[in-house]
Amino acid sequence: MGDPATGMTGKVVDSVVHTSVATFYSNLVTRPTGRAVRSAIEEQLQGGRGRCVSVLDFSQVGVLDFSCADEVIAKLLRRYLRSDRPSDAFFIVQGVLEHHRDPIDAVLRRHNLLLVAVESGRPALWGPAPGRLRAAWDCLDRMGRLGASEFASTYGVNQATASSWLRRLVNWRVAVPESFDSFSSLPAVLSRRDGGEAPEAGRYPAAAEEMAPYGPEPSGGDGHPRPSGDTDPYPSAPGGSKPLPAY
Amino acid sequence: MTVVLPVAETLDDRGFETLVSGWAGAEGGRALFDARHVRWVSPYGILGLLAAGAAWQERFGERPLLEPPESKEVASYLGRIRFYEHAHELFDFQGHVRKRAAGESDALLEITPVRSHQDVHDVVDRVRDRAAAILGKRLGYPPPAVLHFSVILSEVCQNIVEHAGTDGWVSAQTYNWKQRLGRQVVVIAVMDVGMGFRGSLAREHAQRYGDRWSDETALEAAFLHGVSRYRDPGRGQGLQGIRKQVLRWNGFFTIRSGTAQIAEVPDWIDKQPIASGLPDFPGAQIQVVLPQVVPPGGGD
Repeated sequence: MGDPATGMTGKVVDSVVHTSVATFYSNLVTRPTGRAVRSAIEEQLQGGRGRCVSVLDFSQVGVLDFSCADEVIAKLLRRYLRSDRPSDAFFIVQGVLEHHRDPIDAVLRRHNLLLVAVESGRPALWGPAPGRLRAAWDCLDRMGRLGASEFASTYGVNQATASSWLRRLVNWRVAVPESFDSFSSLPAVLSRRDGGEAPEAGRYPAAAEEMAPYGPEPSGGDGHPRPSGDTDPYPSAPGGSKPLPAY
Repeated sequence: MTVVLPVAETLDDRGFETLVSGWAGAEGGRALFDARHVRWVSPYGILGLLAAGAAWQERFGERPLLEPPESKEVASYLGRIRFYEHAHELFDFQGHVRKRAAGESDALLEITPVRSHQDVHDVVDRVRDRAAAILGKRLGYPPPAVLHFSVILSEVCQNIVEHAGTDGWVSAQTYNWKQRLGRQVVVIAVMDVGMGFRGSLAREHAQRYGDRWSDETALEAAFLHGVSRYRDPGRGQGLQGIRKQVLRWNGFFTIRSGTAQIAEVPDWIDKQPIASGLPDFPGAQIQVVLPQVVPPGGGD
């Protein structure tokens, strides 16, 4: 596993943890291997770093089978989707190749999960997202950072609806809240480590060593914007042992 | 009393069924598997012979005898794919047998025991270079195919480790299916004589099916619906993933377990997707056949 590092990533997250998932095995096959990889990732995320983005690098992974993808990706996302998640981590996978897509996509669909993946340098939303949620993510990905009012005017919906859609992305852990009604895409959060404002597709921290220390968590609270009540965010805001989201 | 079980001249999936008929109808005693007249073997057929020997010992508690093939070519081939090494663990031999032939095997994957997850890793690691050469140069598959092929191998082998409750074997070979297809194919065979799909799924799912619970419904549940014996909702994806990939390659994928068989059937093979009422045989017997790619306009 790569060394965890704390990086300057703007005001949205406290740290970025960069992990090469192929450190132990170049071929990620079998469930025990997947469990070992997941445990190592979770270990890196322990220690109360506040909100963090975990970048999982698949570029050195040869074979990825369905069983291992289920153990590494699905079980990791499921655990951090719960309200009792061990830490406030968001996940993005990079370096994924065409042959990784099938097993990852299959486990995302099986469990109704979403994941931001960077394939051939371009970020994409993987998993069974409904059309309007995907549209919201696409818009956020293009803009990098987005307020609900901006999104509302772009899509011709009222602000409450726009806010609801963006919050759903946060609840799915595929967008990061900046303030009550402002949101960032995960690629944008990573790109901003260089001090730039606009995200640039394909630009990600190449190595943990590139990242510099960062200060205290800006949001103060738990980092999750509260639904205003006039919408129906789905999945609902974290709530203990509630079932996993389903469409 | 010695029960003679004749092994078909062509020991492939059909030859295996003949063998199973004899096995299922036997009532005990010392078995002699008479393979003297075998002229041709497929990975499925030869693993079937090992499985039949293991199943005989399991069922009747007596180590069977084996008369090995007389054909020098077949005997040499069996040596190269390490058949005799594994057969010596299961059979007593009549006649002289070379344990291992000299020379490098041209098999994609020699007969390899599957006992643990580490064995699955070893199989995937070992097959990569040969698979790349065979799939790419001989069968016309694009370079990433070797990775998809490895996923298929991994998942079918894990089926043994996760569900059979016993050891099994895997083997893969490429050859020309002149009569059936007129093209080269890669065949993967994986077998065990463990609890089978019905046994594996029974505790979690039999009650729901009531009187309809059988080898056939168990295979349908796993093969078509991704049902697993584990409550973990992530289980059962392996077979679905294999089906999807085999379909993309217009291949054939079949699982036999107990008295039933289920298959993903391409247009080039005349076979029913589900068969029941077959002679009962323990465990699971899996075969994947991947055909040579026909270039556009190449025809069959």
